[in-house]
Amino acid sequence: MKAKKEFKRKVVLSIVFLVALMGIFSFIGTDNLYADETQEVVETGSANLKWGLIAASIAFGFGALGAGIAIANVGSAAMGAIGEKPEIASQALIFVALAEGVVVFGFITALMILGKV
Amino acid sequence: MKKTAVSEYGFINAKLRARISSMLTDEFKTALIGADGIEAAVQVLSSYGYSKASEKWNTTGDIQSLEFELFKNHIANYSMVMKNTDGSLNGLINVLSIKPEIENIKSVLRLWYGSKLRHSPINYRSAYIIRERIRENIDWNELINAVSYEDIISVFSSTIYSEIFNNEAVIDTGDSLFNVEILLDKLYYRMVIEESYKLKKNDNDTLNEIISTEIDLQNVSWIIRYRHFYKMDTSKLSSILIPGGHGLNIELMDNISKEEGAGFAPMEILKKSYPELSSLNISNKHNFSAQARLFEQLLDETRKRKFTTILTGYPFTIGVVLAYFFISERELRFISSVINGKNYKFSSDTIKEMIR
Repeated sequence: MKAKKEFKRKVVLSIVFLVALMGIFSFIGTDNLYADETQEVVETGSANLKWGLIAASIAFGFGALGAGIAIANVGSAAMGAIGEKPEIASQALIFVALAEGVVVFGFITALMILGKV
Repeated sequence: MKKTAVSEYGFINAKLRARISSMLTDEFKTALIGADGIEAAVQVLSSYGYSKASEKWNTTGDIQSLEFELFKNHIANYSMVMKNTDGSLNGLINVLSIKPEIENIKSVLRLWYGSKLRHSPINYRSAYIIRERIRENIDWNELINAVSYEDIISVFSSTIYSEIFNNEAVIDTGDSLFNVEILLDKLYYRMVIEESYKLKKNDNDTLNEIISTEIDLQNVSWIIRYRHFYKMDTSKLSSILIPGGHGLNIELMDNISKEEGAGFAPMEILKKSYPELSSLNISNKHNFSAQARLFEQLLDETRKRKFTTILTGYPFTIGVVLAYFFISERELRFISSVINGKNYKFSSDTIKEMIR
């Protein structure tokens, strides 16, 4: 029980750390991009670029998070069932792959957004 | 972070459902009943995941050893589910595991009672007692070898059973272990009901529905046995009935019995909760025994139907876990009946007829 709580704490901490790091780098990155632009482009294009990048990262980030949650649930159930009946492994993996698909949709959406900015 | 039903039940329910799908299948039943003799039946067991039990029979040739292995298997089911759960669900499984422990306590006490008060030899039977820890820290060897009632009290002193055994009147030296067995059963149901309050509402409802039917079934069985066959007096019968269920109580039954043209009182009370009982008419005094048995069977069928509904419904509830224990117990009973039938050299048709 104690080990489980410790593990949970570490997972939550690493997620928070990762999100914070992503935030810091995205802001540093966008600042550098502005520096190369002329004053006029900065005024018009930078706002688009900034929001476009944020939208793309949200699309991908939430897609990945959703897929993670889905795989955690589907995967654990699949492992439970496969442990008892190994012959259903191929069927169970289909459901895991379906959950994995969520991140692919997020990725495609992010690419489409990036194509527009 | 609070667990959702999906994360709480995803793994364990998938695991148990996979197990349930290969339990008590028609193929297994046909193979076991149709086996040509006990050797062939044990062979069938071996190929359906009961290799330990079958091995035990192959080495000892003793049917009780085989049944003992099956019982151990049943206890292992509780441990397995407990290992794979946490939180309130784990707490409930912990309480449910009192049931096999109580069965073991009853077996040991019967041995002790036979040995100390009736001077029957116990060496042979004591081999079929679980001596490992099931739930509480009970020294089984000390219990079997208890010289006096004080020794029994000391064995149970640091367990949940101490409240029962501290009252010396529970073992009636002139009569039987009846009182203590009833109290143990009552303790089990009381603890399950208490534990059910810690569950989420959905799970609490499912558990209550299942436990209420189980209590009704148990109470009806006692009423039929003790009131109608042994003519037990009202106050004594009232005290043994398990609280809970769907309101079976002796006073109400007595009032119903006094009414003109009233049917079998327990059935009149339970009809409101189980409409399917209405089709049964237990008023024929000449064939009372058969009708009462049918009544018990109908209640049991109702319980079975409830589990079927649970297994085809929303999968992330406690119902699947309860269904697993129910089916697992049924499977062990089925195996035991068939193997005993084979041991007595009954034909497949006779066995099929008997276990129907």
